[in-house]
Amino acid sequence: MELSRRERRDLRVQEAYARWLDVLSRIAFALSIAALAVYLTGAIAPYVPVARVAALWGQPVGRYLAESGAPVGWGWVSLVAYGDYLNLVGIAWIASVSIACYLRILPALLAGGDRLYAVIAAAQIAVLLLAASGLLNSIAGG
Amino acid sequence: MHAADTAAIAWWIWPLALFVVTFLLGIVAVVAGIGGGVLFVPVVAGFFPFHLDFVRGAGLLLALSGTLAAGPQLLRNGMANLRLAMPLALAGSAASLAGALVGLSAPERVLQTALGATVIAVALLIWFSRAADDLGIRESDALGALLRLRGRFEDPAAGVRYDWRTRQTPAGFAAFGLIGFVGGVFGLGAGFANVPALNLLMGAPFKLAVGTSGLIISIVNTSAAWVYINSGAVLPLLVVPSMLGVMLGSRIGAGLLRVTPAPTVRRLVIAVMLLAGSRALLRGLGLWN
Repeated sequence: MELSRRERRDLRVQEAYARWLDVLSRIAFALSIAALAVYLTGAIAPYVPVARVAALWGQPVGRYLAESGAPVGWGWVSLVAYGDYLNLVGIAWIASVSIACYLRILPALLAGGDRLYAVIAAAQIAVLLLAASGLLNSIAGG
Repeated sequence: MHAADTAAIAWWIWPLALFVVTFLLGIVAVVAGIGGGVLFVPVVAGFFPFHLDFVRGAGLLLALSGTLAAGPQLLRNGMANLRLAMPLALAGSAASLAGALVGLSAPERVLQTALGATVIAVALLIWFSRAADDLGIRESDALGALLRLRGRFEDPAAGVRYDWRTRQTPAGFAAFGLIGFVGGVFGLGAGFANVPALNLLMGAPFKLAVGTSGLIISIVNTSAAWVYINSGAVLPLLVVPSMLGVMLGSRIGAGLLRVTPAPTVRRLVIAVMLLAGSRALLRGLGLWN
């Protein structure tokens, strides 16, 4: 069946999204597995000892943070040299994959003249970046 | 489970048990066609020593990682439609962000009670949900036409092709907002609700609804996951074994799909959800601690 120009353009955008999703999620899972192996084997010392995590994982997050000295927001970035916070690299990567995929298709939507979907993509990127920024957590006192 | 009981058990037993349980959840969730995220939170919150804050953070990342892994194939073989997913995911992710903030500030008892009631309601929704393919929609509504939410969907297994278009698109937006909010509050994957909303409410063919639902979860859960990460409610010791367990289980489940009696597994899942939901409800009400 012959596809219209618009349909072919939509398919190209979808294929570009799929390609980035594929590559970035594979990297995310590889990072996660490698970081967990480092953590559990104790190859790199953790910031919060595993036994301490286990003693506190039944507590609400506020109490866990207060008693373990664990950071909130992006404070973990300065602790990636520790085995436990190295894992946050893979986790943050997983939570960034969709943002990167939207950034990839935004120029394609604009170039194809699909302004409405370009606005939707830009709004989606804004929502996800707002969530990632931690700004709302700070306002909500989280 | 009481702290004194759990303290007597070596810490490493719990992540290992989590891996085994999520592996099994991954199998049954695929066979039952509901996604693992919705089972994870009630089961792990009910029967493991972890606080609900950490379980919800892990639940979101679990559902997120599963849908990210499946996304490329679904998009490439036409089982998911990006154009259909994008506007609904925007509504869902904004609401999910709000839901996560509400969930992290709500009292635990209230959350447990609401989680129990929600999981029981979801079990009933799964029980009563039916699927439909060609809903005979020949005209888009105004919003659906503006967004060009229509297309052709070929189902190679059934050997048929549907020309689909959406109906009740504003109601679909409202539904995805509500689903996103609930998902953010409780850390649930939302395939159980996305699929009926896309299929029965908006008129997308069933298999396209299943695939597009996965894509939507991968976007919606991203916003709530960041709220949990920024709050410190993500423990790698819970998240990574769970992600690996459910991903491996899902692969096995996909292989078993042809030979397993799906209605039996579906009934088993509903029974597990009713049990876990009742546990959360009674815990929230202070009747089963």
